[in-house]
Amino acid sequence: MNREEGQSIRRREFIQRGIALGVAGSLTGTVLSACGSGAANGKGGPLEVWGWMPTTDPYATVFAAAGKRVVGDGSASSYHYTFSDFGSYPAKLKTSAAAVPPSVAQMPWDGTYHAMIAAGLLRPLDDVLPELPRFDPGVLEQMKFKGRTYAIPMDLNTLSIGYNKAIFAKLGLSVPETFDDLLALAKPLRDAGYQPLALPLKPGGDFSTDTYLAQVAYTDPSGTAVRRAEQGELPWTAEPFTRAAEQVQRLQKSGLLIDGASSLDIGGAVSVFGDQKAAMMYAVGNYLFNQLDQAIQGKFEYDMFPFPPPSAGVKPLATGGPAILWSVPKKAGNQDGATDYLKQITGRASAAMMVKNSFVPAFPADIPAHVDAHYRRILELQRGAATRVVFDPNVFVALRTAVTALLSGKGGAQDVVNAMQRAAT
Amino acid sequence: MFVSWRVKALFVGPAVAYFAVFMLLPVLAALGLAWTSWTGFDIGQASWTGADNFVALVHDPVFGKALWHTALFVLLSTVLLNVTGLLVAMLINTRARGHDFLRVAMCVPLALSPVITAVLWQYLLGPYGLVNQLLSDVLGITGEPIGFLGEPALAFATIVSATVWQYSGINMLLFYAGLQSLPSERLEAAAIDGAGWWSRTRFVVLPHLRPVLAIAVLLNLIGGWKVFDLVYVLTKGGPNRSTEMLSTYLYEQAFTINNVGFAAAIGCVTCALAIASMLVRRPLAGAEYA
Repeated sequence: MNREEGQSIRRREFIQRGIALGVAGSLTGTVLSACGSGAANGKGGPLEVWGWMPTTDPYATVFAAAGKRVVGDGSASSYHYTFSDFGSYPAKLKTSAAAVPPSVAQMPWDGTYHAMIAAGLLRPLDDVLPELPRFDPGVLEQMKFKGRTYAIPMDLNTLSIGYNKAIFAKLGLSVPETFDDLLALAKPLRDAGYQPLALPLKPGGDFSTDTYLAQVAYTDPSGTAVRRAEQGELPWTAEPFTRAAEQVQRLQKSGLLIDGASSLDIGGAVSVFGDQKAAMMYAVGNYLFNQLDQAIQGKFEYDMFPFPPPSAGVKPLATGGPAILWSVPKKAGNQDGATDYLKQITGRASAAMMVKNSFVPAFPADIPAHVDAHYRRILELQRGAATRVVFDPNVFVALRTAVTALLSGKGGAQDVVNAMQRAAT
Repeated sequence: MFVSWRVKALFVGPAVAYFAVFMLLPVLAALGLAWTSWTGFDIGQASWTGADNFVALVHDPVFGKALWHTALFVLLSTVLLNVTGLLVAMLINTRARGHDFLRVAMCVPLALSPVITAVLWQYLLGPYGLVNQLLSDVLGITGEPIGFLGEPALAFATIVSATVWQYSGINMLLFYAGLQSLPSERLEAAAIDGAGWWSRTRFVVLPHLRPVLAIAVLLNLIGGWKVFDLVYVLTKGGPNRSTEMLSTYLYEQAFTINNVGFAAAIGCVTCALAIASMLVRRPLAGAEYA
């Protein structure tokens, strides 16, 4: 055997030993992992919950408490919460849903919900509903897709116009009772050097669809138009939608909107409202109380009122809809744990935690006699709230783009409804 | 020395595998998806639609806008990045006072992620941001806020400016390296022959930098066609789609509307434009370096 042959054999031996070691390692890993998952399966497996609320947010503490109770019940071996910021959350959820989805997922209201149902990725939850509390019927109706429910509402967002009570008092202004009264506030506020209404319209962080749907709440008293249009039973050019777009156009032309609204996001709106540069801001809800308190720092008091009705004598309606929705992917590993999580997150203990954090449960809850004034006001407004959500992703994007354009002075009311109709077809 | 094909494969294999899995496969997949209708969930539900997505692109006004905006962005950013990079590199090359500081200052934005750059510019140029506050509250020059991000033309200009601010350092470094390789004798000879600053630049410096310019322009063109992060964070394609780019429109179609086939068609067009941009290298570099 010459030197080269000897080296060649050593090299071959080296490679063979390496391969053997690799295979042995892989097998050991597989066996250990199987043992691990077997142990986990003994308690239903881990409970993986996904959402876009940061782990430091009070919401996450409500989630964690419910998760711990699920583990305590023995429905899951462990609880883990994965946070993704809202910008990237829908894409991550959609891409994982067909492969390795979480046990329970917070569901966005941007069209992802219907898209995932249509793709057959979500489990119908109608069989769980009898075991859950009685939800706000209007909200639960919004969750239905072709007669079946695929998401459970945990709490509600009630959106209203916040106003600076000190500025209103100084200028002798009162809370508007009609839409015309609201538009009439523009002149006295601008004359006094204030920006009237801080309405965020920056694409992606805009409240254009909410502004539009707040008008639909009045033009469609039945509360069924959006769902019927989504199911093709009503054209998007129907009267309730056209009249709502006309109201939005009047809002734009009145001079009520803050200068620079088209590049303003919600953080910017809170900032100008807190600095008392703007006398009003939209959309104020319990989700914003902490941020507002930090921005205002006790300099003034604020209160809220819904977008006023088109004419006097009509009851003002706050609008909004579900805040946190939970869905269970069909391919979720621990289905029992997921079901138990839905029960826990809508149970009495969760409700108490939500109330403590000024969230509005989507189901009956015990409200203590002494709660924060803003929270009490939100609860009052919520009683008469009208819920409107557009889930069709094509229509949602078309509506958002067209209303943002309309509020920026581009296009007309008819363009909004035409854009929705085009997107739907 | 003889090296067996197995050893060669061992060295080349990982790179080829990486390229095949992470570059070639996605490109081929996108190329295939562009001829289908797919929501992005279950690939089994994808259905063959032929050239429908490409036909739809031709008739889609938003795509037309996005294509025009991206082309304009590519043109403006490429010109400005190269002019800025070249001028600063020449200034640094003179060893004038403060050239070290300038060199570092030009490179600092490169260390930032584009998302952070966008957030920074947002704070500065938002309707009630630092610049608007300075102009209205401190200096009293403007009454109402300037829509740096809210007026269509200004928003576009802001995006181009932010891009130039962030990336001109790369061009500066490329040109500076090119200038370092220019023999000083050539410049001295030209000066002795009576050539002024402009003549030396026009007939000595620029011809020497042609191959560098070709590479810089090529990188800027390719980077320009796929611009995304800065635009997405700063304006998300708004207001009223006035800064909509091919990439932001692709993202909306793929991840908001779940129209993955159509988005893939946009991706194919973007890819084709980036590949076509490579044609500029040869004429720019000149026959000697082509």
